[in-house]
Amino acid sequence: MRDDMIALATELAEPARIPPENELDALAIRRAANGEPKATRDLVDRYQHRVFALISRMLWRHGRATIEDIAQDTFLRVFQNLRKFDVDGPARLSTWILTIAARRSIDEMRRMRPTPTDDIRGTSADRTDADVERKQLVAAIEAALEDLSPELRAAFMLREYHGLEYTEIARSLGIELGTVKSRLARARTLLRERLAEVAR
Amino acid sequence: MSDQNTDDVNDPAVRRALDAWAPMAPPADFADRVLSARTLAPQVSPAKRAWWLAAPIAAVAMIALVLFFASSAKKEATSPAANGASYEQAAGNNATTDLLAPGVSVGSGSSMGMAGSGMVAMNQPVADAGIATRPIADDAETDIAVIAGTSVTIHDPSGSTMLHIDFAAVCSTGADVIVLGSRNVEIARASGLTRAVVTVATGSWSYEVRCESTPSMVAAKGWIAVQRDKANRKLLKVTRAVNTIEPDGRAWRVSYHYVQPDIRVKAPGATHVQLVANGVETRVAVIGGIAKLPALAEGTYTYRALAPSGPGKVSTLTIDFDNTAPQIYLGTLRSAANGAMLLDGEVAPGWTLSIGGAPITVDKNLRFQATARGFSRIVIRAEHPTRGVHYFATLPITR
Repeated sequence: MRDDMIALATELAEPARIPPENELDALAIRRAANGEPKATRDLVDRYQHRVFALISRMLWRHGRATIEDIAQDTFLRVFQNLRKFDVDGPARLSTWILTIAARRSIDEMRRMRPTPTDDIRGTSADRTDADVERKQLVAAIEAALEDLSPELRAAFMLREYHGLEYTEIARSLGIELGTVKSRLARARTLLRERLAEVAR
Repeated sequence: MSDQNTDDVNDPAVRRALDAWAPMAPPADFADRVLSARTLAPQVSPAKRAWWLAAPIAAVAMIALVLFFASSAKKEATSPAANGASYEQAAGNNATTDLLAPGVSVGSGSSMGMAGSGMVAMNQPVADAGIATRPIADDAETDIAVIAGTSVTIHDPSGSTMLHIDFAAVCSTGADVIVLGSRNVEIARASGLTRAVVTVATGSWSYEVRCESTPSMVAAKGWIAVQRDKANRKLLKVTRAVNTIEPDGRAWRVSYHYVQPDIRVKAPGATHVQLVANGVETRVAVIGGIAKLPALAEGTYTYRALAPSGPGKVSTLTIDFDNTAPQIYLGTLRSAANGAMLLDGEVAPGWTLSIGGAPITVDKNLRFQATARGFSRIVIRAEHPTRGVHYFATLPITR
């Protein structure tokens, strides 16, 4: 399973949508793969926000501790398999890492039912009108995504927040391209409907 | 952007909603945590590495010997005496093969002999037995060995420690040791034939042992807690404290360090104090306005004063152990005669100490002294009837 994941991630050959300056260069990746402390730290620093962004939106009901655990596990797997990543290939390291993060999140969603837990988005102490509106919008998104399977929820996140191409998403998550397109269109429709309800 | 992406979210309201969903930011020390957890990377045990190296050599040697004996037997087939000699050599060949078998040719250890009261000297190799420190001379990376299924707390000044988990008793054909973090997330996996070595960072971890023959079943499990601790805090006062409480309806808490306290209830005007523990009632007479409670274990109790005018308010008493108090104090490891190392220290009542399985005598003032030879540091095993098994490692000696 893990090898499949790494192979799929490595095969991804879509053009980069994220500017190259946001990616580690090949030399830094090789150094990180060799375990050089500065390079490994650079890698974590460079990608941790993207990994947390994906995992926290995937597992928002699972609580901060789970999100941090999965993020840490993602990076441990990245380092375990970094030598397999083809730095000269067309795939971007960020796509490869996000694929691992998405797969780990999907595994976690399947493994554990979410339980009521701490609100990872902050406390109510600083509540203002803007905060209330923001929370309503977020609730609308959450409600719209609630019906999606873990793979499609991951697909939505990778598409809307991380800018991956449909083919990248389909291949990294192991689902059909047509399914990705149709289900994401459905998710967007649901989202518009929920937002309309909020606006009323 | 390619054609396939034309159905992206273009509605400004939808885009605004998506933007409103702020992600969780990583904790400030997240990179440190990841890099620290990397020290738990799986490692191949020395036993397995030795077997990998030895197996091809053994195979080549076997083939050479078989060819040699085959040619000898062919040459001397007419002589019955020669055939007997050939069998003896074959037996010798088998013995060589056994020595290369897994679990036989690898592993090391040291034993120790008592050298006077409270003094431990270690210089002879022996087999491991039970939970024992495995002092290995000049091997700074390897320090503690436990039997699979044991749970231990390790106090190590370096903050992380290498640990041998010996599973020979539960798995005969090799096993994986899987270290698990919170929510059972796999942190590291190490394998071996009779034992595996894991580097355990500061924190609490559980582990499982899964035999190679039955990987779907957990053959043994336990937990490991590692604390960055030099054990250089002096012990607190080791005397039995007298605590006086009142039956005033409040909740009282008495924490103790080493010796369970002597608790007295101040109840002037009362004849008895009624104490209830686990549904069992005890009445203690009040003499001179004070009721001396019997020795109480850790737990929560209710009590009240009984006076001729009627019972008083129900109060609560909780007795607990203050786990922040140091339980062992280690002095500085220093050189002794003949290349030995000398360590002295103090230990709280109730602990039993040993080094490498050899007991350390503790005097009436709770002090001890031990010597070890041939090692860069000393690991003391401390066991308490209720506090479990702890290992205390010293800093390496500077000669």
